[in-house]
Amino acid sequence: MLREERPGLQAERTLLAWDRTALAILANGALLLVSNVDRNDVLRITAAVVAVAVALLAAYLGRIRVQQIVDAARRHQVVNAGPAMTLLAGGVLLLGVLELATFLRY
Amino acid sequence: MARVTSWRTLRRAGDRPVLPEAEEADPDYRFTLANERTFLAWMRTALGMLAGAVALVHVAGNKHASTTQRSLAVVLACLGILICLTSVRRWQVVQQAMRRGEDLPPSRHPLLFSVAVALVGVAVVVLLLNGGSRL
Repeated sequence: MLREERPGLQAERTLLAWDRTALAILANGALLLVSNVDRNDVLRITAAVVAVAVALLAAYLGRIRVQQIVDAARRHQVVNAGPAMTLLAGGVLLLGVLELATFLRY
Repeated sequence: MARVTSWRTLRRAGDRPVLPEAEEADPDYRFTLANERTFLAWMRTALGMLAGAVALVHVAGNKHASTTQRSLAVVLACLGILICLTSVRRWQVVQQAMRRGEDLPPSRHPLLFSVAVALVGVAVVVLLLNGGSRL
């Protein structure tokens, strides 16, 4: 039954989900740089740099968050909501806005 | 509203499930993690839309992209940005429902975003068929 399930498996899946998200962000950054290169498009390059930063943030947040939850579960403590979700969504939103700006440049 | 007690962990060693004393209590951490993974799946969906938008405009070259390409890219990017907002809210709402032992409220987001992306896809197909290799 549920009670006997080892706590590690769900945590591992969640960590992998965070890492997949970080990779998806990184892929967005790579896509921005692969495009037909206009070296003067500072906005595009800024967006790519932001993508890398947000990807690293996602990887970091994922590790912190999963460790937090597993520790709290082990000690039967309350898990607080934490800022991780909002931070990630904020980072992706920022990336979206920058990309939007590049589309409207010309 | 039907109360779902299955969100709670069995905190006692005995066989009898114990009802929580407080109105709100922490759900089983596995449900918290499942909620988190769902949020992350939404994030990847948003990133997929942003990638589609970038592909429409930048891959052929930003200067050479047509107005149609830009318009569709703007629509996709806006959808991606919108998901960032709706998915955080959804995650909070679900977390709260689990804490209160309530059923999860239904969400129209999956349907709405699926329809929106499908429409953009149809537009791309129509434009490709009409315009040949360039939109």
